[in-house]
Amino acid sequence: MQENSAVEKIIEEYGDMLYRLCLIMLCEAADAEDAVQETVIAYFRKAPEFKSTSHEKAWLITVARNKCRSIMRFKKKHPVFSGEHSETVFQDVESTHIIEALMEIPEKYRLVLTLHYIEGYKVDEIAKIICRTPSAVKMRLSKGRELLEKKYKEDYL
Amino acid sequence: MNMNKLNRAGESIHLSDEAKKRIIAGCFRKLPDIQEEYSDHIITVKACKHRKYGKTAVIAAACIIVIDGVGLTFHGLSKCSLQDDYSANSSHVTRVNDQEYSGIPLSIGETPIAEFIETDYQNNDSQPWLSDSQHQKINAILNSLTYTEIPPQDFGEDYDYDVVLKYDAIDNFHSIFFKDDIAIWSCHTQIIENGIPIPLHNTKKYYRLSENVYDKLKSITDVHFLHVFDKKFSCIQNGDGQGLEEMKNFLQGLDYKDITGTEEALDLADGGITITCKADSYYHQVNISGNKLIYDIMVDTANGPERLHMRDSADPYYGETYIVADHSDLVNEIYKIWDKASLLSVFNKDFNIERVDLSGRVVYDSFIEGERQDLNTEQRTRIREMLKEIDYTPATEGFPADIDGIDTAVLTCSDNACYYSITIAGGYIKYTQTHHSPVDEGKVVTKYYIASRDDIPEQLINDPVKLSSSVSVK
Repeated sequence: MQENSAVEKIIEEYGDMLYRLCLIMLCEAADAEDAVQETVIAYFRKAPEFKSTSHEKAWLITVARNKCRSIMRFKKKHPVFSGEHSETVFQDVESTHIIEALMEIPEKYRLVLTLHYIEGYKVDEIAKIICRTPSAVKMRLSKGRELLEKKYKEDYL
Repeated sequence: MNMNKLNRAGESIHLSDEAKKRIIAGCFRKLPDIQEEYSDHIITVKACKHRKYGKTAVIAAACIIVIDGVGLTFHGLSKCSLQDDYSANSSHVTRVNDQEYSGIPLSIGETPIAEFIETDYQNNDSQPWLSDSQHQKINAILNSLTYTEIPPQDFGEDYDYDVVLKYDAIDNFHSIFFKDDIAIWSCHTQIIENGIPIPLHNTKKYYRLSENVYDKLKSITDVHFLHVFDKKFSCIQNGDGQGLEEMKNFLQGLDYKDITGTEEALDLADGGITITCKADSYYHQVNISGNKLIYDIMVDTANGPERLHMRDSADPYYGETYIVADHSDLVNEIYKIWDKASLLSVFNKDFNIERVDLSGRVVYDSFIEGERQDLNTEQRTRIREMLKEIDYTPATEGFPADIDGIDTAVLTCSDNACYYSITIAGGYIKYTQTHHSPVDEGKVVTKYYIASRDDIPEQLINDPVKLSSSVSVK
């Protein structure tokens, strides 16, 4: 039962964070759940020794991102399995619209915006997670903000 | 837009308790080590197949997994080449999550899988291939089995199938056939003719089921290929010759280790150098990142080479690289063999911009305002810095068709006898490296890379000449 507790502990500790990331990346709750599940499984099968909690979290984010990309790649090749957008219920309409607008912008911007503004990562930390230079992250953040704002205004204002 | 709103909206996303339960249940199912703790989670497999038509005639299969009687339900349809005398009846395989199903429950483990329904796969073009999550669910079953390899001669080809699970790895597919306690694993590369997949390359391995070990499946789908092909590299990318033979020997002489899932793997982005090799019908692709040599196995697909072994559900780094040979002098060694400094420098994106042209055609003399004018050092530096920021992805089989013919700007770069062309077109930037083969003088070899337009600075896309002019004015 020890492992059982470990699984539940990881879900409890990181489940929401991973789910947020995966949902925004995949735009579908069921896929996001799958991605979270696979990430947790990978954690127990593959996870290296972590230097710190932040290292562990970064590792999980990276694995989750790869899982999401795998799902996205498959769905691109097999559009018959395309799902519907998330049925996540938000507390207010504005939140729903913001997240929906975020889901509409390209994945690379979605990811850095999510990590920066929702998960609170700094540029340098994001750069390390996604294996890009800080300047590239800054560029994506900048362009991502523009795209998000444009999309939000176009669709909801 | 106030980004605090994004923060608030994002933080309102939570996993429901029900979702958590589903995820945790899935983890238990897929983690064999802890599965015993949950023996009350009854896994039932329903499977159907078509048989009677001989070993090459098969194949359709569908599976439903019911866990604790509630619900993880899926099906997958597998198909293969059909013989002329094939005639399926009209029984229909239900779609995902459809509870209607005409199979008999099967159990994995001690009870052989053993019941079938006829499946109409005359009309199965409308049936989807397995989804990624379905593969993973199939893997969950397969992971619960253990495979012991047995020599082909001890098994032979004269078997009939009790169940077939199709394991789609991108557009090629893996199949696992069960016969009593024998699992036959095969990997196909396929083409589609008249809607029917035709296996091109088929490698079968035979395994006997025994205890439950996850790693066995991994060995089937992943590392096993290293053993199958025994690192028999045969470089094809750059023709044949002494240098390539040396390269092959060099690659074969390295010790590869599997770093899947380690932190080290995280640090390895796409490699700088790509060497495409061939062993039998499979490509072995070698990338270099830093002084690491990363080894991938590719298969031919309708869409060009695709990684073969990264579709395992347990693989957290799909699309990344795994098998690495440490070699502190690796780059130098390869450089020595290929004898082309530029080959390395260009892959390190050390662009040496010579001229820019806006005509949409590749030209080597650029004219700006009617007067021939090379870029000055500052202009070259500026453009080079932009280009270096862009992420390029190898496109070893050429460019996507929709790129060609819609060029909007061409940057032509030069480095000694080699030259590189950057073409910005449509939604992509395509990067071509062309050089004369050192081992076959006069033969032009071209490598292709693409990068997403989203990564490209607007200035570079819209008007590189204006960009350079502005630098010049400054």
